[in-house]
Amino acid sequence: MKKATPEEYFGKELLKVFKAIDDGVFGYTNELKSLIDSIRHQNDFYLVGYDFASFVEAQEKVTLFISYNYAIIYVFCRLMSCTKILVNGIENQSLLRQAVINFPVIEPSVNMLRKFGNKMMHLIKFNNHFSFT
Amino acid sequence: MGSHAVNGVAELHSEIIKKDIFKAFYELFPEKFQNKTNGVTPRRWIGSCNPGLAALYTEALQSDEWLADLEKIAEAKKLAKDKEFQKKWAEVKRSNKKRLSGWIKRNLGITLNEDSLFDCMFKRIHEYKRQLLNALYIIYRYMKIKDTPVQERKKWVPRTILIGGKAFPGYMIAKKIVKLIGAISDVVNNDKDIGDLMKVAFLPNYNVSLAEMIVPAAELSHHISTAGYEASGTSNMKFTMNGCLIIGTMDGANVEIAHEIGEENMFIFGARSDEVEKARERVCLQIFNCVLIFLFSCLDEESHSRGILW
Repeated sequence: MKKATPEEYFGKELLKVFKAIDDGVFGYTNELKSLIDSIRHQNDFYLVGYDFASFVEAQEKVTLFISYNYAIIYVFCRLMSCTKILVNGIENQSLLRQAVINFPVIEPSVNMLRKFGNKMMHLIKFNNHFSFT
Repeated sequence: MGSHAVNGVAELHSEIIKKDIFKAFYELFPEKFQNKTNGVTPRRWIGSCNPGLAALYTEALQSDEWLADLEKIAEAKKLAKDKEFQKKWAEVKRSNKKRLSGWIKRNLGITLNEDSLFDCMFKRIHEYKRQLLNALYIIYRYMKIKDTPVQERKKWVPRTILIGGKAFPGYMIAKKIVKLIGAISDVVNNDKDIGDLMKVAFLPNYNVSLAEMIVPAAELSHHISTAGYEASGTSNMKFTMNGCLIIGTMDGANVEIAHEIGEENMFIFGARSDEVEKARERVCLQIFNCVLIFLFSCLDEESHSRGILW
């Protein structure tokens, strides 16, 4: 535990999670509260709080990776709709634009790029290539 | 120490044995210490439990010798960018996901989105394995999705989170962790606002038969124990062999898997085993202080009034 206060050690987000459990969002307040008590009173022996932030970061990396797989599908869709435009004329371009905007590709945030840019170049390159801005 | 050899079950574990647990014995008999990393058999964990993938490998390599010598499977690497192979691979994964979600529908009554990411964590319930960390992340994610305006929610990749494992009957905290996961699953699955973006299921009575169905269907698996606590861990190998990505800490056999497949192909996070003590130092100090304060307060007041001797 680096810092003494729970605000500094657990971070805002995790404290919000604790609060939700305390407030009974998930029911069984007594049992669940006592479970959280097993880590929050400076007794976090297995470092759940210590590793939480980097765990969230790793999960974001997972999302980035999946958006890479989505991007492959996106290229396919784009090719498909391009051929459609050739057939149907220009009026469909706004439709295409809409389709592209609606496509569920997660663009990596600037922070993510800075952090993982060097390590996961093969993912980043792909994502940048098909960014929508 | 009467034995002629002492084995560590993963490279990291062997190091910890030498440096920490049996330090004095290591100084006496350094020649007895060696490493034998635990393993799993590809006959059961690819051949038997994932016949589709096994057939695909056999077809690609034009022999089934890889079942006896898994190193040979490296030859399939050149097919990784082959469109036809990718398609077949995806079909195998999908049919396995279908089989698992069918089982869940029949036994738990939860309808899953088969296009979502199957995110698995199957292991004995224990504090050091940190199911609690995963559970807290699930709540964090649930709250984040709730905070996102409806029209922007498509940014979230749909996920199906499956957790399972047995808890020792007398292990109160482990039982409570199961309770927490069950409670989360009740809330999240019944939230129409979230819909398919997230489903959580706790699969009861985890055993080998169930694992043979889960492992081929998994796409992301958690191996997130506090570094230095998992001796080896073998389910990470089972999942990896079936084309599942690992999110994990540098612990047990994860270290060797990361070395083998490359750190960039694994989602690694958290304190390394040598950081753990440092990270915890303050905890111990804090607890020590608390105990001291408690003892002194006993000494001051209660021991006099109640006559307690400690």
